[in-house]
Order: sequence, then structure tokens, then C-alpha cells
Amino acid sequence: MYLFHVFRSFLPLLNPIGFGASDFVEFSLILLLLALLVAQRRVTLAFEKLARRTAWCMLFLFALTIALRLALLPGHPVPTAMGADDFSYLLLGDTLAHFRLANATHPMHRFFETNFVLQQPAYSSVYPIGQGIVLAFGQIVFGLPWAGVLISTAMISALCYWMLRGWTSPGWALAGGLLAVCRFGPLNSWMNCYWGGAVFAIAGCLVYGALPRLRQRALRRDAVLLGLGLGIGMLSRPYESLFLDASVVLFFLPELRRRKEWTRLARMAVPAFLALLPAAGLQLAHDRAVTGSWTTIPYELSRYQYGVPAAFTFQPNAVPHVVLTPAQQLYYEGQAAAHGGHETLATYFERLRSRAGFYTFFFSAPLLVALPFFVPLLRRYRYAWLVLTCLLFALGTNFYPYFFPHYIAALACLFVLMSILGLERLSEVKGGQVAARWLVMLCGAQFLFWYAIHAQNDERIMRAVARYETGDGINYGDPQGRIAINRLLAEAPGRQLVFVRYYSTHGYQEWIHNAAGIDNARVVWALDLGPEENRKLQDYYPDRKAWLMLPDALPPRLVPYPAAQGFEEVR
Amino acid sequence: MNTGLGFADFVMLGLAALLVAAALVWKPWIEPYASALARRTALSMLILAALPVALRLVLLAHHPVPTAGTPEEFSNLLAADTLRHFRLANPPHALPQFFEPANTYPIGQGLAIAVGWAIFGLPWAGVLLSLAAFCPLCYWMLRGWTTPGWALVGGLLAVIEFGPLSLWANSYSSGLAVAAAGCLVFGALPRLREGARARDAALLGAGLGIHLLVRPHESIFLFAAVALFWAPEIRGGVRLRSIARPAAAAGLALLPALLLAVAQNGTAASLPAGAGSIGEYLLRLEYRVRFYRFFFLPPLYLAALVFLARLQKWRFAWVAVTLALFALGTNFNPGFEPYYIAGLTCLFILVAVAGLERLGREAAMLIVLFCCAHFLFWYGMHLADETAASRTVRQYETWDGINHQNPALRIAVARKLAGVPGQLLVFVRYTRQHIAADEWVHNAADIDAARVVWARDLGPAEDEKLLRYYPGRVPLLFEPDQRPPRLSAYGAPQ
Repeated sequence: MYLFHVFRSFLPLLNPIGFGASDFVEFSLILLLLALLVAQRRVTLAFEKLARRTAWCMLFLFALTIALRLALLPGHPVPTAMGADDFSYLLLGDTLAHFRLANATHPMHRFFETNFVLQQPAYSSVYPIGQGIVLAFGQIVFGLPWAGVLISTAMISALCYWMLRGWTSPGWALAGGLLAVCRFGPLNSWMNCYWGGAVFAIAGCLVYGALPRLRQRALRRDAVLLGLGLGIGMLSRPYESLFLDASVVLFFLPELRRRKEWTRLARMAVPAFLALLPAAGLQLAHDRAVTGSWTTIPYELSRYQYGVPAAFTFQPNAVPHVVLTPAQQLYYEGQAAAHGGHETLATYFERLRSRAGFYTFFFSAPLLVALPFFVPLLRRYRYAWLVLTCLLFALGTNFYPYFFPHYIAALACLFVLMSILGLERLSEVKGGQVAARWLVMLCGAQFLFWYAIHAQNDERIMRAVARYETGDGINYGDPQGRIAINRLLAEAPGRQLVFVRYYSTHGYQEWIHNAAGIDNARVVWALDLGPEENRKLQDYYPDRKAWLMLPDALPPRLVPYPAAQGFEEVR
Repeated sequence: MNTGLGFADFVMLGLAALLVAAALVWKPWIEPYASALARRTALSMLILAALPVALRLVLLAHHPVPTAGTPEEFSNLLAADTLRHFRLANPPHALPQFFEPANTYPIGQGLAIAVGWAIFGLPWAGVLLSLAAFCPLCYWMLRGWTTPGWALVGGLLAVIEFGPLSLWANSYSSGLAVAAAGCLVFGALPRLREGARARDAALLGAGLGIHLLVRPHESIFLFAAVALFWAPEIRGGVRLRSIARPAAAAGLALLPALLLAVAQNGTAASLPAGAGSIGEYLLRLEYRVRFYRFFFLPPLYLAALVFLARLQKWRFAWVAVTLALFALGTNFNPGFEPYYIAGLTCLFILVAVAGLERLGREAAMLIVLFCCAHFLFWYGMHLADETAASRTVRQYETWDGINHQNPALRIAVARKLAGVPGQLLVFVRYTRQHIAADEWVHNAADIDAARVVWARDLGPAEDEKLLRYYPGRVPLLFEPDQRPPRLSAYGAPQ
């Protein structure tokens, strides 16, 4: 029947009711809003009752996030690692899953040279250990590193609610938790890659949730959670965690100015410090295992050896001290260019200005309307502190030439808090209660709309609307051809050795990635160093089937090695 | 500056800002004034008349006075021009084979255009006057069915849906005149039930008359609907004396239209045949569902759905029956355009308003705000017509009918012709691939007196006759199907 083809097309002339994409969007939004309005009327009592039960709320938010993401698995399967960062974190997770902090240098390591991985003095990721622990947990418990990502991201919503309970009423805290599900849940890039973001966000929740509680009642438990948060922060983002620490000091500034409060502060500091110690110990041990020095972090050694990651802008540009592969050279040059070489006040502020857009990552668009209502609260120090903390992070991270939202993930809960405080304030003005409710519902409707689009898993619809989905970052399809290549390798019997040959047009898509135990891995990815050199690796792995991978071919090609003529780059 | 927000985010942001602003200012600022205004019928009608016209005029810079382009539009313009000369028809031309056929459409739309043309010297003014009549009349109609507040909401919905961006406000085959007629009929009916006043009866008669003049075939269903409205009274036994006066008033108001229709004799266009089999009939009915969405913005679909809950009451059931009557009746006509059933426009708005009323205050407010957001968004996009954002989103604008850079070719050709001195004779040469709807041969009521005469190119031998008939005119040849279209001196080497 003609009428049943409603979703046949987004082009108005091709579907029976003449609906275009904008009509679908409009209709869906109002439908979702009204559904939420009806639901809200019916569940208000249950919502308020639930909001007061902390453990149940946390469990609910945690489970909701996980269930929502798992429900999308048919169209959006377990993410495939995509680039150098993903691979490096996976190596870290795999290393830890083998209960090691670093791996021994491989005898043929020149084949495995890749970005953000150290080969000497130990074979290891250059990244801090925090995200690796999460991936290792997923790998050990569920046999899947992504399980760790899933769980850690789900914990953001639960802990965000817990954090908000220290700042606001239970109802608004639960609303904040739900907003966190919408923003940082199933559709968010933190959930769908291996770089992370969630671990530092968790640290932020613990720290910023403990602070108001400590001011209120100075319980040892909250001090331990504060220390734990600071420790996790240090393990996940060592540089940015300095601002996390500084913000704690800033929070207690009023108490620090009153000498009689010092004893109380000291009583809190001791358990916090003790809780921080294991993380500090782990950090030192990791540094020692990877770099051979207790006080040299892997980042630093990588910067010395490979010139990446880039130096701070107040430092001179890093200079590599080993011979770089072309792919590594590309990264180095890119990062050196981003660094710029010479910092002035003008370049510093220009960079700061250019980063403004990254902060909208933390807000659903409708919530930006609530933010102005937060401003009047700034007269009180506890709220002004929120802004000072964000400023501290913004100015501090601006000394680094790169910026991604996960660098400041610890602030995620603070941004939710600001939104919630804005909404709360809005609801206090005449007519504001309805306005605040509508804003929350609009956020919900926006999320549900995109979630439904993804749940439908209809390629035509995805193609039509994907460019309008900003802020979300869920994996869809096989844009780089990696899934197809991985499938080919998985179907090949026995163990594999893949030589990767980059063309001169090669970009930043990294393909060399290996497990912690390279020799035991089913697939070993190696650089193509030419027939003579490659022979040595083939001799080293006599029982492996050799392949040639051409990632820069269109589409990427995987062919048996040695390859027949015709697979050379055409210039 | 990189805001990190995409287009969809800006839309959501705008929507959120609108919702919050509305929620905050509604109680202290809008509601008291809106309620007071809604009770003042005349003032409300005045505002609703001026608002859509003013909004359309503001857009003139980017969307100029619409240019006619279809045979139907030319026919309506010809009818208007004829009426403007105080004639009902024109004497046949000596060489009719060169010109478009005489107006075969009913006189009503031409009459509406003629009024505006006569007053303001511009045919489109007649369309705008119809718009200025329809929106307030929609409010007036709704006052007979619902509270003043909801009636005002309905009036605003009329402005949003059928106002400056609507196809009807931007074409010469508009449905606005007949929609206004529908308002008179459907607004008079509930008032007559309440108190049989002669004024309302006269308005009913006038509405029926206007409808008859514009859409004679569909008027059959309108008369049937009116009769159906009185079914409860007829079943209950009505006293003839009590209805004699209003019936007489209605009859008297209807009489001029009847006389005009008979005098025009152009309404003789027979009812199109070809209903075909029952299967074809039902298939056509199903296909036409898309045309009905012309009367509802997407958010109003929900209100329309909720309206179903009000069908227990006869008055609302009658509304549904009337809509069904038109849908089934017009389905015998193989062609269909929304203006065929324009008389029902106010009933569609009533359906939406009755649904909204039933939905509850907050939900209804959300829907109305969405409609406002929809209108403001697209209106803003038309206002900022030259911006990249406007160009990007234009592809998603469905069902609005404002003349987007309207017929650039026709405007350019008209400008070129205006630059040629003297009286002109333009032969139009079509190719075999010509699309019939893209008509170029159109003329004034008094062809011989017009500065530009458009004629079909019938070949050199035939054309010679017309050239001899108009010896003083500059002959030109226009070939609209060439790429690019070509205007050249007639007889010039090609």
C-alpha cells in the first residue's frame, strides 16, 4: 500500500505524504516533546522518589547508558580502532592485561615503529596508564577492551549524579545525570573510541563531588574519594590533573584564609593523601618500567626520541633523536607545525579564542540557553569557583598546542552542574518552571531523535542527516576500510604477517599496530622495509602467511606477499 | 569564530531560546494582552488582516510581485482584466488562432483580482486583499466555534500557514478567496444555530455565493454540508416561521452570485469525467493524502489526531463528515489541487484548534510555539535570502510556495520588452518538448489596445496574416525552449 511507504524517502515528492526531511525533524521533535511531557506528568512522583535513593539512581543511570549503547550494536558494532592514539591505548591496555607495566623490546622492533609507541628501552605506549587500566579491565573480565570503555563511560552519568547531589537537590541531580546520559552516553565519541575521556571525567566527578560534601561535614569517606579522584586524574591526564589539584586548593581558599579551619583541613588532607598514594606509586612504577627512570614519564621520553607529542608552547619545539619512519616524520612535522615554534601573547590568546568551539562539546545546544541564568549566582564564591576552575583549565591547557575535549574531561560534571544551576535558577523565576522543564525535555528530545535515527540503521536516512549531527561521535560503517581488512585477516587460516606499505600521499591514518606480546599475536603488522629487509622478518616468522597491505590505495587493498606487479604506487 | 555548533545545533538553540522566552513572557506580558485583544473582534480582525500583508510586503526586496506562469494564472488574470473593463466576456478576436483560448474558469478568482487591480493598479493586490480577508475571517469563523483566545490562536495559525510564505499568497490561482468564503459559511452556521439573526444568514448566503463563483463544482458539497449541519434541527422538527427570515436573508445574499454565475456562462465547464473503477477511485484517494498536509504544519498533525477524541459531539462529527464529503466528492475529479477544497481551510484550522484545546494548555502551547518557530525560521531564511545559510536550507523547505527568485526568465524578458520602444508583437515558438504548464502566450482583455501582444508562432505563412493585422507593431520572436531562451527580431537569421 502506498501509504505504508512513509519513510521511503526524505524527498517530499517521493513519499506519500509529501514529507521532507525538515518535516520529519519537526514532527519527530514535537512528538518526542509531547511524549516526554506526558511521561513527565506520569512519572514525576516516581522520579522524585528515585532521585532521593542515591545507589538506585546511580545503578539506573549506569545501566541505562550501557543498555542504550548495547541496543545500538546491530548498526553500530564494537568500535574498530582507527588511528595511532587508539592503537597506542590498546597496546597499553593489552600490556596491563598481561600484568606488565611495559614489554621487552622486540628484536625486530624497527618493523614495528609506529606513532605514540616506544620501542626502547621498553616496548610500550607513550600514554598515561589510566585509560589503559580501563581497557585492561574490559579485556580481562569480558575479553573485550571496549567493555572497559563502555563501563567507564556509563560511570560518568552515575557519578555525575552523585557529584550533583553534593551541589543541588536530588531531583535536579537526577536530571543532571540524565542529561549526562544524553550528552556523554551512547552517541558520544568517548563511548566509541579507545582514546578515552571517561576516566578523567570520572576523576572530575569524584573530586568535585567530594568537595562540597567535605565542606559540609568533613567525612573521611569523602576525603578518600577526593584522594582517589585526584589519583585517577593523575593517572589519566598528568598535566591537566595539575589544574584539578589547583582547583581543589582554590575551593578551600576561604577556609585557608581562616587559621582556625586549618586543623579541620589537615584532618581531611590525611585520608585524601593516603588514597592518592597508590596512584602515585603506580605512576612512578610505570615510569620506571617504561623509561627506566622513576621521574621520566613515557611522554617525555617519546618527545626526546621521536619529537612527539609536541612540547608545550613555552618550550622550544622538540627535536627527534632517532631516525623516523616516513609516517612518524609526517606526525612530527604536523605536531611541530601546530606548535609553531615561537609563542607570543597574541598567539596564546588567538589559540585560546580558537578553542571556544570545543567547549560546546559539553553542552546540548538547548542547555546553552540555560547558562545565562547561572551568571547571577556568581556573586557567591562557591559558584564563582566553578568559573575560576574552568578558566584555570582553559588557560592551563592552552599552553599545549593541541586540544581535544577529553583533555578537560574532568570538567564535564562541572559543565553539567552549571547547566543544572542555570536551569534551577530559571525555574525560580515566574514562568521559569515551565521553561526549565521544556529545556530539559528539548535536550531529551534531541537525544532521542538522534538515537532513533541511529537505531533505525537505515543507510539512506543516515546519509541524508549525518552531516547535521554535530557533537555526537558514534562509529558507523567502515569509513577507512579497516573492518573489511580485519575481516579478511580473521577469515584467513593460521597466523598472519602483514607488511604495510604507505604511499607518498599517506596521511595520518596509522595501520601499524601490534599486541603487547607481538610474537604471540595472531596478526603481526609490520612496516614494509623493502624485499631484503622484509625477508628477515619472514624468516623470523617462518610459519606466518605474509600479506601486503596498501592502506592508501582506493579502496585499501590487502594482497598476498610478495605481491604481483601492479601494486606499486603510481606517481 | 569556531563555535563548535553545527546547523542543527543552531536550530535547536533558536528553538530553545524561543521556548524559554515564550514561557517567561507568556504570563506577565502576552497572556493578559492577548486575552484582551482576542475579545475585541474588530481590532483582532484588523490586526490579522494587516499582519500577513505587512509580512509579505517586507519580503518584497527578495521576493518581488509574483509573475504569472501557468495557463490557469493567465486565465484568471484575463478574467480580472475583463471584469475591470466592466465586461463579463470579450468579443472574439479576428485572428483567434494566434491567442490563448478564452477564459474557461469561473469568474470568482478573477473578481478577487479585479478588485485589487482596480483599487491599487496591480493584479497581485487582489490576491493580497483575499489574504487580508481570509485570516481575520478565519478568526471570526472560529469565534463561532470556540473561545476568543483559541480563535485568535487559529487566526495566527492562518497567518502562519496561509500567509506570506504560502503558495496561495504568491500565485494568481490562489485559494484565498474561496477560503474566505468558507469562513463566512462555516462561521455563520454555529451563530445561526445560537440565534437566527438575519446578518449571519446574509453572511452565509454571501459565503455560499462567493464559493459558487470560484469553485462551482465543489459548491455542491458545500451546500450539502450546510444542509447536513441542520440535520438535528430537521429531525427535531423545525418551525418554518422561525427560519423564514434568515433563509430569505441568505437567499438574497446568494442571489447576486447566482445571477453573475449564470450571466458569465463560463461556469458551463462540465464536471470532469473519468472516475474509473472503484479501485482507481480508492487509489486516487489514497494518493491525495499528501495534498491534505498543505493544510497542516507538521506539529499540528498531533492536534489533528487528538481532534478525533472530540468526535462524540455532533458539531465536531459534522466537521469530519464535511471534510470526508469534500474528499470523496472531489475525488471524482481526476485532477486535484489544494485550492479545490480551499473552502474547507478554516475547518482544517478548526480541527487543529479543537485538538489543541483538548490537548491541554502546556502541550498546546508547545505545538503552537513549534508552529511559530517553523514560520519564523523560514520567514527569517527568506528575509536573509542571499545568505549561505538560506541557500543551504532552501532545499528542505517543503510546501511553502513563495516565489524564490521567481521566474527570473519571465522578469528578464519583461524587462527586455519594456526596453523596446513602440508597440510590440511577440511570436512565441515552442519546441515539441515544451511543457504545457509553462505558458507564454497571454494577453490583456483588449488585445488590440495592449502594448505587447503575445501570439503563437504558426509558421511564416500564417504569421504573415497577423503581421498584416498589426502593421505598426515591432515583430519579435521568443523561443522559451531554447537553451538559453532567445528573444530576437522576427525574421532575423537564426
